[in-house]
Amino acid sequence: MPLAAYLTLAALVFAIGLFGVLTRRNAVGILLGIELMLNAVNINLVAFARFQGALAGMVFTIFTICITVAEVALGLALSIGLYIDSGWDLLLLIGLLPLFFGLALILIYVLTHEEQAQPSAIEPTVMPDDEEPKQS
Amino acid sequence: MTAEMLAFAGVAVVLLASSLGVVLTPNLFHAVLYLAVALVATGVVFLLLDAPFLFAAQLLLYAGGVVAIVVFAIMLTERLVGTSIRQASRYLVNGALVSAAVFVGVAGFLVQMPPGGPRPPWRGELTVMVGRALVGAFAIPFELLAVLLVIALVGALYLARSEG
Repeated sequence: MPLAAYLTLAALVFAIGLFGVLTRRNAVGILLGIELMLNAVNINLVAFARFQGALAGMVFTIFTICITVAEVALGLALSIGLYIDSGWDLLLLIGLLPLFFGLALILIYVLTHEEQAQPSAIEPTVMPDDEEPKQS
Repeated sequence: MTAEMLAFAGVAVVLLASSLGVVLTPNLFHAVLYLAVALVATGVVFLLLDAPFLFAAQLLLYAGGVVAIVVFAIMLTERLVGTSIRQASRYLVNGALVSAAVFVGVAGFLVQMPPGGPRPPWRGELTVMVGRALVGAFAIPFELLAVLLVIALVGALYLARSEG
């Protein structure tokens, strides 16, 4: 299948998830819609990584999965805590932490890869003057 | 029609149908079960894209972990509230319009995209390459991820303790 087929599938899933986020009235239902949207983004990342032959998309998908799992756990703890009605601004702060960490991950990746001018060890075939390849 | 196209069509139909089930069914518990089907179908899409390691991670973390957590949370809140939670939807027409507009916008870019060639063959074992990248070029984000998981653990402990 061409790349466009995977991207179209991901766009459809993303639109369905957005529909769920916009129309659901329950917090857990909105969370399920966000899950669908994140999955669509994961499909996009893996499809681009596969068709470009680059590894960064795969690694980013692993990061996305981990951050999403932490976010779901804290978001559900947050919604349960809201039912019990305890101090909820602190709960909101804790629930938003995964989002901040995701942004920090992206920022650090961009900064560290701007500093490295030469290509990294991910793409060994780009370096013709390298005597021994860094990976088998 | 090759076997790959057939598999892709089947997975796409399952994924889209279960995604529609997630956002449209009124029963929240059924929505979570549809989400499990959608997550497994996404994992099969990863498998079609020659990423078996991501398929395993998807099954373990999403379809195992997330669905179990959501089911626990729904059962717990239903016990707290005392009634079965019905999912009320609102703004159906507006939501459909906005999401259709987003899809048309993305599809506009997809139409303009030049048709790429076939996928290049992978050099080497994917799992080995992902592991080397995680401790090589992506070492700092990887360590930050460990910090994130510790903070999530501590935060979940705090939320669980503050109830008692």
